Parts: sequence; structure tokens; C-alpha cells
Amino acid sequence: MALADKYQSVVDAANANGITEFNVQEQGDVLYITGMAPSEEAKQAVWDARTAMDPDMRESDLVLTIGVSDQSGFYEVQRGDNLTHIARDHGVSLQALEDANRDVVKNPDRIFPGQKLVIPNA
Amino acid sequence: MKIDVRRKVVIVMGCLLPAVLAMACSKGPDDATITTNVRAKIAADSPALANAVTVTTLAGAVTLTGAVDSDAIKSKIEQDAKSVEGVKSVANNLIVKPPITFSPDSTIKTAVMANLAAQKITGITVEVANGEVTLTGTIERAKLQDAMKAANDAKPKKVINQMTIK
Repeated sequence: MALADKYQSVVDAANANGITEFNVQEQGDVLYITGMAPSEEAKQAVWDARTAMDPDMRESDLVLTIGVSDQSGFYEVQRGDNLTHIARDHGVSLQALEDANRDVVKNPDRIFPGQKLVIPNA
Repeated sequence: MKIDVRRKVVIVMGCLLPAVLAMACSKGPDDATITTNVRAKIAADSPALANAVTVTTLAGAVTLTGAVDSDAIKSKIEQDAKSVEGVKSVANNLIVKPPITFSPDSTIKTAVMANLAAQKITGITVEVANGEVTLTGTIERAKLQDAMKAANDAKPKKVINQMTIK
């Protein structure tokens, strides 16, 4: 657990930011910190704690894998967008994107700049 | 006769008191003190470990619960607990976590590439061997964290950052 002590500030940041499914495990001289963050901001706070320790990120004894449990959000359609590209850029399926926006998008082939789309959880 | 009885009582008390005091002394530290001392002993090796392990003591019998990384650590903690004064027995209920497993190199590489693309990061070479990701190329400092997130989020065995930071 020597590495867990080295990276205590990262563990503390995870605890302070409501990381769930949290696991800290050392294996083969690498510390694995995993969990799910309630938001991108929470994930960022954990990463900032790591960056504070190792600004150039040259240390290879830590793998920090923090997912974000609520990835839903909104996206404003830009000129030239289409649903296929928006789905791909947000890592969701076209079907999921269409299903989440049936109220807004009557015809999936016609979306307009300025429309606000719901981006479902991946 | 009354005097004799009093004398007897005094004599009996005189014998009992040291015995009672000796028993009290031989009881040693109380349970709360034992718990504190066991925790301190573990923390001396690793503060993080002390947080991961729960120590409870009842009449000198210590119970250890929690999850640790290896059998070696599990037995080390038991030895730590046994070495503390006043501990009569140790129930080692610590669980050893199952080892972490990793996806095939090709899966990890695909995930890193997709994560980099989602962050619109280009010009970085991703090599994966035996689960270890090596990043080379040139990265702006403002994008360094995003590039490292892209690699770490793919759940690799290790991330080796050989990128030139500009």
C-alpha cells in the first residue's frame, strides 16, 4: 500500500468529490484507482489532484480510471451538423440520440442550427 | 467475640485487596486502547492501509475486517495486531481483493484512439504492448491532461507518457 500513501491526495480528492464504486488497489508496482464520478467536475477535481503532484505526468505507477455516471447533457446544433455525426462525437448510438429527441426532431434528416438536443447517457 | 470478628474481617480484607488490585493490573489495556494501538501499528506501516481496515476489540479479542491487496498484507496486519499489548486473540476476517484483469492490447488501443479523437487530439502515437500504453508525439500542455485521461480511461495496465510537452 506504499503507493496508496504516495497518492493519498488523489484518494482524498476522490472521497471529497463523491466518487462511488471506488477501489484503490496496488498490483505489480502500479496503483489502480477506479470509480464513478457524479459529474465531469468531480472527475476533473480528482485529475487536478493528480496533476498537482505530477505536472508533467511522467510517473507510470498510477492508472486513474474515473468514469462519469451522469453524462446526459445538451448540445446545440451547429451549421453542417447531422445526427449521425453528433451521435458519434458524443459516443452514443444514433438510435439512442433519436429516441431522446423525438419531441424536438420530427424528421431525423432535418435538424436546424440552434436546436437544443438532449444527449442521452452513453 | 466481636473484636475477634472485626479482626478476622480486617485480616480477610488485607488479603483480598492486594489480590483484587493485582487482578485489575493484570487485565492490561482496555478494548478501546487496544483498538487504537492496533490501528496505530498498522498506520505506522501504511496510513492508507489503516483507513482500509476496520479494527474492533471485545474483551481483548481483536477482529479485523476490510479488503486488502494481497495475502502478504493480510498476514502482516494480523502479525501487527498480535504484537499489541493486551491482545488475547485475532480473528483475521480480511478479504484479499481479486487481481485486476486487463483487456487485450487491441481493445485498449481502440479505446485510447477513440478517446483521443473525442478530445480532438491529433499527432499522438499510441502503442500498446502487454497492456501497457505508450504515448509519443508532441502535446500542448493545455491538452496533456486530456491525452492522459484518454489513455487512463481505457483501463490499461500502465500508461507511459513519452510525449514532448510544448
